[in-house]
Parts: sequence; structure tokens; C-alpha cells
Amino acid sequence: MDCMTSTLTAVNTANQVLTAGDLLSLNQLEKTGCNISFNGGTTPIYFKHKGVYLVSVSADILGTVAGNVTLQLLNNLTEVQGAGATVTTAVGDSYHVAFTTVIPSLCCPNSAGAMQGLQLEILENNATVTNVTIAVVKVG
Amino acid sequence: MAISRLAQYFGTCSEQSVTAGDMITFFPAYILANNYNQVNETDPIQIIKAGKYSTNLTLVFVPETDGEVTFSIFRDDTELVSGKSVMTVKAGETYTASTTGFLITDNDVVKLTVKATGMNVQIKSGSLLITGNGA
Repeated sequence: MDCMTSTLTAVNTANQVLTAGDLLSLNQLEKTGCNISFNGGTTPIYFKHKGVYLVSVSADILGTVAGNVTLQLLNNLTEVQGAGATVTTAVGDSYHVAFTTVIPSLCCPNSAGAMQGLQLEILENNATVTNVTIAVVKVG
Repeated sequence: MAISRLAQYFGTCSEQSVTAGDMITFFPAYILANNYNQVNETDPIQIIKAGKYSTNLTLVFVPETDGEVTFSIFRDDTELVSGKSVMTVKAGETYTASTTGFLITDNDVVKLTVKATGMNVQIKSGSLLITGNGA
């Protein structure tokens, strides 16, 4: 097994009715290599080894209230700068959002004994989220 | 090409007011390989090695007026045909523009800038990822 070119794709095509602050639930679709691990649901996607990871996210957001909704990438429960998308939603309207980022990981575990892990969170207002995809590729 | 030899530039956007036609600035948060040059956040990004490059641009923004806004990447002041977003927007609402683009450079130094045209916008956050070969 080639451990240099690890990839993970996780998706969820079902409607997730979420309250602001909720984490998105994902199901593993495909995994290659040994640098990334994921147990499904709202648990983090872990980097198992030091390296540079390319992360791409896309989703559809259905407005359930009028106001801003942000889909935000978290790394160890901390917001990743530049890795989020915000739309002003109207009730019943749907919006597509997407973003790409890179995360250099010093790994694993860090000095506090924690693994670096990615999660997706909805912020600001409630929304229904569907067609979520996250793709993680170790590129360096 | 080994995937571990990709050359990457990753810049992040701080909150900024942008006048139509002016460049959006990116802080060079992470640069892998010597394919890029950017001294200050307010400088254009330079690609200093010939090669094939993809771009991923994400901008969270609030328009100042109703109408059509375009976000595009300029190569030495010429607008690229890819990596462009055109949106009809309403003042005061929040939108996310997300694009993927591609360019081939055949000379050693190419200057890249990202601009909003059509209206003034308030950039809330964003990022620009450039990935290329030739690391």
C-alpha cells in the first residue's frame, strides 16, 4: 500500500436538519493509503502522519430561517481561516457552497497528546444541509 | 509527476473593502516549493517557474449595491477565462464565490491578481490556493 498518496472522500446526501453550532455527519465513501482515518458520523477525520493535506468541501444549504449561514471547517475544534463559506439564506431557498484549503499537519499526536482532526460545523443560523462532500488528499 | 512534488501557494483573505477594479489582497499563509514569490500582503502573487497551475478561489463577501459582480483572476493584467465567478447579488446580503481555474505559464515570472468588477464589495474572508507542477 502506497502511504504517500493517501486520500479520503466522505459524503452525506441525506438532509441534515441542523441547529447553529451542530457538526455535520459524514459517511466514508472511499479511502486509500494509511495517512488518514475516519470512523464516520460527526467524529473527526484524523491526520495520522506529518504532511500537507489538501481539503475540498462542497454542500447544498437549504434555508430554514432568514439570515446568514456559514459552513465552517474545524481543525481540532478551531476554525480554519479561509476555509468557510457563508450565504444569506431565505426560507425554502437552496444555495451551493464550496471551498478548498491546505492544512500542514505537524502531527501526530501533538504535544498535548491529541490527534489533528477535521470536522464541519454550521454557524450563525439553523439550516438543512445536504449533498455534503469532503475530500482530503495528502499532497506532501 | 509524483503527488508529493506539487508546488502550492495558499493565501488567506482578511476583511477588506474593495473598490470595483481594485485587487483583493491575500496573506501568504503557506507556500510549498520555490515556485511563488510574494513579499507583502498587498503585492501581487508572482509565479516564478514555468508550468501548469490550477487555482481554487473562495471569497465570502457582502455587496455594497444590487447588481452583477464578477470575481476573476488576472494574469499580468489580462483576465483569465477560467477561475471566474459572475453573480447577481443584493446589497447587504452575504454570498460565497467559489471557482476553479487553470493556467499554463511559459515564461519565468507571471503576476497574478484577483479583482472584483461591477461593484464595490466588502470581503469578509476567503482564500486562494494555487497548485502547480515543477516543484
